[in-house]
Amino acid sequence: MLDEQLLNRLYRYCRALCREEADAYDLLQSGLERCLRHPPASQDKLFGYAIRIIRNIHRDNWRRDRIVEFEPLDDEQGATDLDVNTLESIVIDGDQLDHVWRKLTGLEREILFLWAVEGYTTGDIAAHIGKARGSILSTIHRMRKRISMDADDTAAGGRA
Amino acid sequence: MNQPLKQALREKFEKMELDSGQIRSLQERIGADTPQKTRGFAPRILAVAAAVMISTLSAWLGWTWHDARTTGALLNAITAEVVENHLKQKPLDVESSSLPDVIGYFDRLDFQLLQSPRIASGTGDKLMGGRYCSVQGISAAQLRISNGDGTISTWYEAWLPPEQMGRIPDRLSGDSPAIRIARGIQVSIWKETGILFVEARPAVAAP
Repeated sequence: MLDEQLLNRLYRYCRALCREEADAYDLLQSGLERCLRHPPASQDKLFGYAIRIIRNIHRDNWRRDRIVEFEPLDDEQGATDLDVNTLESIVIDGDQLDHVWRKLTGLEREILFLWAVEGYTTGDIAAHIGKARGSILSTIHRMRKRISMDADDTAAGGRA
Repeated sequence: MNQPLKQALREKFEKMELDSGQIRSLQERIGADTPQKTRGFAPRILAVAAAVMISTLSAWLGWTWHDARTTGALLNAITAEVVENHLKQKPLDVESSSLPDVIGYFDRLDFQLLQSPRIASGTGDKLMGGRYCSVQGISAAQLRISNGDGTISTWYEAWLPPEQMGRIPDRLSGDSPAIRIARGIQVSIWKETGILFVEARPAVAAP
């Protein structure tokens, strides 16, 4: 049912949601257990089904632990001409990415993972997360600005 | 080294892998639960439907088998009893070749004795008389007939409880009599107008 490759894909998704490795592994275990209790109708949709379950568990954990990640209010108007592809123009090195990564919210990390690793479109991401496409675009818009600024700062710090 | 964000993210995540111990642990956990819990909704529905069908079929076959066995057992019991009566040829209670007279004699039965068209067939058969007997423990009438071919046949009329009578072929519904042969006697069993009729006569050997 779940081979090594699929387990690793799911684990990476958990790593995108959780800051800590151990939390990601725990989340993966919880997700798999719930998948087994309520298996999907089709094995073809297993990954999408599993990450929805994992996302729900992660959200519940947030509520239970009262961990709140504040998300800025949406600015859909300013995001109408954006897409995940606008992130394509960002150039970054590994250290800069690690630095930026620590500052991103859970939603931002999730969006980046789904876009870069799983190849999701903006519409796919919106459907998975359960938000309007414009809301996702706004998040991407803000994230792009932040990553660019942070990368610039890191690069400047490195040069100083 | 600078690279596009997408590429950098992919490389970052490529490095995030479960170690072999974690994978083995997860797969063992999945394996332990898989047989009972990994089937999808549709396969589960199909499994339930198949189970219901098998149960229904088994119940139906069981009932049919039981019913056939019960019916067969009843017919065999009647055959054995009638053959016994036929072979003993006990003395008649009433001797007469008049069917109305013989029928009139049986006034202690719980049913009205009937004249079956097959008794007075006009084939040289001659009524000899009758006597009380029992079929399945219930009072019955036995008529004895001397056949045109020199053999003796005995006829029985009886009434059986509905659960037993329901298993007897009904000539008025187009059923053929049930035929049994035992100890050289051919026994035909049927019912007409709610009365059990049984004819016992020597079986004819195949030429």
